[in-house]
Amino acid sequence: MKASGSLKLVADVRDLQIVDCEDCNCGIVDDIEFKGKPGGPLEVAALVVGPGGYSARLPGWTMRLVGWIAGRGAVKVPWDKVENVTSTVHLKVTAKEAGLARAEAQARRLLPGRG
Amino acid sequence: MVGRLSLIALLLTGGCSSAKDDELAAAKGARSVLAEWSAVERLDGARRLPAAYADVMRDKAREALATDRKSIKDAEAGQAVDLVMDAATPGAAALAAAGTHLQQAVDRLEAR
Amino acid sequence: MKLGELFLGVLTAVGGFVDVSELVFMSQAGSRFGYALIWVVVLSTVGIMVFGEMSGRVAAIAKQPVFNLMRNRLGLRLGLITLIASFVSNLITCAAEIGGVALVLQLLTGAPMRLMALAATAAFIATVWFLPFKWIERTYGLLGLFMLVFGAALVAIHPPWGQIAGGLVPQVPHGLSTRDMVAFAYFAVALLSAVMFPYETYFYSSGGIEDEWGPKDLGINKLTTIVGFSLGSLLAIALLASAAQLFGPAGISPEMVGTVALQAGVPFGKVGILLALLGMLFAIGGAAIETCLANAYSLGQFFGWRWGRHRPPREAPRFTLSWILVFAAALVIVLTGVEPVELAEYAVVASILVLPLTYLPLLLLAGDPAYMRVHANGLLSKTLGWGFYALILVAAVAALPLFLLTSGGQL
Repeated sequence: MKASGSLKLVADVRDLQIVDCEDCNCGIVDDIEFKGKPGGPLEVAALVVGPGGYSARLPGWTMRLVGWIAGRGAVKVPWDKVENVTSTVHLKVTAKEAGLARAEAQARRLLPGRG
Repeated sequence: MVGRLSLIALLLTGGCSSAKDDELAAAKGARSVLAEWSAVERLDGARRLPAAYADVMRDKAREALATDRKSIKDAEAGQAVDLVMDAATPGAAALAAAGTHLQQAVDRLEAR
Repeated sequence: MKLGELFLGVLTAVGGFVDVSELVFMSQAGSRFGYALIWVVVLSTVGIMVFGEMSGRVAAIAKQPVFNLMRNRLGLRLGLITLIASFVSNLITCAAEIGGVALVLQLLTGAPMRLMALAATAAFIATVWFLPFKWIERTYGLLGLFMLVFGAALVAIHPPWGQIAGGLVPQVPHGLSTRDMVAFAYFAVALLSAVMFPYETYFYSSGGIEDEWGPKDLGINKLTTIVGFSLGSLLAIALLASAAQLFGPAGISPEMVGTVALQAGVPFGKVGILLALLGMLFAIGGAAIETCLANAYSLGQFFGWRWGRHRPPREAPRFTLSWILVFAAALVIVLTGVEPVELAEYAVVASILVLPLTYLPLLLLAGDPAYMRVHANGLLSKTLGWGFYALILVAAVAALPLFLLTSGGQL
């Protein structure tokens, strides 16, 4: 059976690189959130980015390791912030505006130098 | 999957490594180290090696021999290694002679 | 300008071809089996050319690094397994290279090895922090050309060229005992692994993206991999042939990295030793940086971070922290006192186990017209790619049992 509709979208978009409007990498699509009611149409609500987004897709021990290294947080980027999807997912906004710049900022504080 | 296969392979072949194999590996290693050291002494004697290089190679050879010696049970081979280790500055000829004893030990171990 | 770039690229590939594992295994293989394993080096070189070209092409056309696309193609689980396996393999390799550099510095200066390991790691961190990507590649690659002294040394000792040429024919020497036959198979697998280290393709393709390759660079990609790797392979064969000529008859099967330099010391004396050590220093040093960066690239690409040395270190902070931590972890391994030769042995076995995971996504991506359009693998690339993949699979299955049965090639 061929995937279609929302299943096809999940297969195509999940695990793609996300690039912000300044052409900076800012994460991977770890999951996709849908909205809708039983019997009604499904709509894409948001991209889920961060280890919390893929916890259900990994065996428990792996998730503990990933959680220990990267934490268990996840950020939701509303679908209307997506400009287009090619071999990457392009956002209309900056990483900071999408809430995807925090981890890089934390890591930057550990490095010497200013700015 | 690969990890599981590796573990199985490790368990299957782990039992194949015996004390005899360890001794043979050590004897072969020591034989080569003696030959390497002998080559260093020969070239250094002809003033063809930088001093630091020759000194470090001697130290490394002693360290490697000391490690291999622990696994060598063959009396003759062990004695040959001990003689070299006890000498302050073994010459190329002495090292080559010790290497001959090690070769004989390797032959004996391989024949067993 | 383009011709100059190409020339420099090829020279860099030559100088960067040999690393500590190749130095050790080429010498040991030549010493033990004469010229009989030369064909394996040639075969492996064709393999790294095929996959190197493929990874460069994917970088130039899909504009996405392999690890990035791999996660989307193969899924999170298989992707994560590949990431962890290649990370461990690259880390061991990086430690072997740092240990090798420390040893070479000790041989040059007489200073304690652990101190030299600390100094070398500090120098590598400074190099990667301050130098742009192209300069890092060129500095170590070009200074690694001191290794050409091994080629000159081979010519100077007047080897039997006919017998060397005979080694190009696939063969298994006659009259080997069962033990020697197993050792021969082990060395064949180890040479394949040492030439086709997984970090090489990751580093090469990430470098292509750092240098902003596009379709116009496909020619340079092809020439660099074919000509650069061929010439680098000749250097590796020179190491093997010199060892066959000088070490084999003397009963030397190099147990110490420093012994390899004697190949140049025999014909050229002190100058030969110094040039050999300098060549080894930069060739192994370049490999240390490449293995470390390969790990940081893989992490950055898998998790979608900002990555690359085309950005200042603080603009790709998680990537920067990654390579600093990889250097630190590799240094800790070296400081435990494990010998570089031993680390190199573990590195080749770990690498061959990882190779099938490394090259599968690359083969799939390079053959996928959705990503590669008209530049997807043609019949030749497909045939060679899958042929080598089958070979790598067989080698990966055999590697660990052979390693254990031969005590790392010592029996």
